[in-house]
Amino acid sequence: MKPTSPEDQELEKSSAEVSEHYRAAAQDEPPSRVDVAVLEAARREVKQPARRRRDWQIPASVAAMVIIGVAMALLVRENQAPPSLDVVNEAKLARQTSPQMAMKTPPKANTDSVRERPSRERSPRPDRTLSSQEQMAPAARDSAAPDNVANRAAAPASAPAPAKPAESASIAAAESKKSESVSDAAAQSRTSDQALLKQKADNSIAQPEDWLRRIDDLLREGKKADAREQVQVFQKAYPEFVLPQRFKALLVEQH
Amino acid sequence: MLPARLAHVSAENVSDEQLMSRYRDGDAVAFEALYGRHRGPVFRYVLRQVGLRSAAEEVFQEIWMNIIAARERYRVQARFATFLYHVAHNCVVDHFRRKTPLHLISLDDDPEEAIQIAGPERDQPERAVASRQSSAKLLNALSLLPPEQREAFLLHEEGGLTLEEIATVTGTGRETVKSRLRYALAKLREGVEHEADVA
Repeated sequence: MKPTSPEDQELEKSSAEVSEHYRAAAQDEPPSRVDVAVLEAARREVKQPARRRRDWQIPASVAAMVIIGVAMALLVRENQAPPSLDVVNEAKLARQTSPQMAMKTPPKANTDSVRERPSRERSPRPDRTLSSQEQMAPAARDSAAPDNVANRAAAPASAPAPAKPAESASIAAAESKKSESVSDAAAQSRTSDQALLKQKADNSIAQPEDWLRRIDDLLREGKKADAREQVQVFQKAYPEFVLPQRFKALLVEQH
Repeated sequence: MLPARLAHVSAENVSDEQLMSRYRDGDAVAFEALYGRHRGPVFRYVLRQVGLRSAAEEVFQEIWMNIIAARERYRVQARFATFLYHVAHNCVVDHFRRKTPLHLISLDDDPEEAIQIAGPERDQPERAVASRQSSAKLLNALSLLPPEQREAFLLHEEGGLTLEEIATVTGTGRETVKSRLRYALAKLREGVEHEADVA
């Protein structure tokens, strides 16, 4: 004990006095058998190979972290909920049945968008899924409509659609009418529209002029019945389009 | 009896901390030297508190087993003596928790062992007459001290710990230790002087 104050020094002095007597009295030692036991244990401890207790802890920790990480990643992925197969299929169907949208003809989109709007409002789901699909999987979108890619490239070169004002006015009127109709009627008309548009898509015709040109080709080939059918479909698709006289005659011939 | 080799090694001028570090690194001879230095004081520290020699041997062995077990974890953060007596203190406390208090010794216990915790002289006049020597009376006076004062004295006397180190080992403040030690010394001196007067 290192005395630092007078009090400590006094304590140390009295301690020395007692210490002398104590050391004279206290001579006890542990028995030799205890010495042997302790020293033997000490030697045994040293001779033992280094404890591997902690060696497994690091790999085990890493493995646990990896497992937890993977599990968390899977959970997060599940929670993010990628579009289900049904939704994707619906989006594909919507793309196939609405070639105007898939073709994406930006300059004349005014007319087309007006034309498409009733259909979209009546069936918002495909549209919504389509937009999400456009954001999430452009590759899938392109593969879903390969023909449209070519059409998209050709679109800007084609001529603008005729009779825009009349067409948009009539479509707006139809839109207001249709919005007031009951859901069953809307579903029916949606089905017929989709069928019509599907037929247009089957024809792979981007513009009415092209379509008419193809009908001309049919007439030249002598396929009058086919040409007539095409004219009828065309008229349904473009009711405001003023048909050339030869096509009107074709329809008259039928009657 | 301690082997001759131990005495030789313990005479080397190597600190306790270095010896323990060597033992941690696998040098069993270093431990023998360390053990040789501290075996007596630690045993007496335990014996004076526990009272019975058999119990003291048990606790003593337990202390060193704990030191051996702590070999790999040992880092020099303080004096080795502080570490050693901290372990010893805990073992003694555990002993008292496990056993009944020593002053309630069974009559079946060996009377030779019971002398270590003898009661007041007035209760054992034959013993007081038999042991006239002051050193023996000092031990008797020591056994009469309150446990805290006795431990403070033993840690100071056997362990050579400073007030701060005793405070660390016992988990008390320095001033508390100082007070306990002062009371202990006063009572022990009084016991010795009283015997001298009687003689």
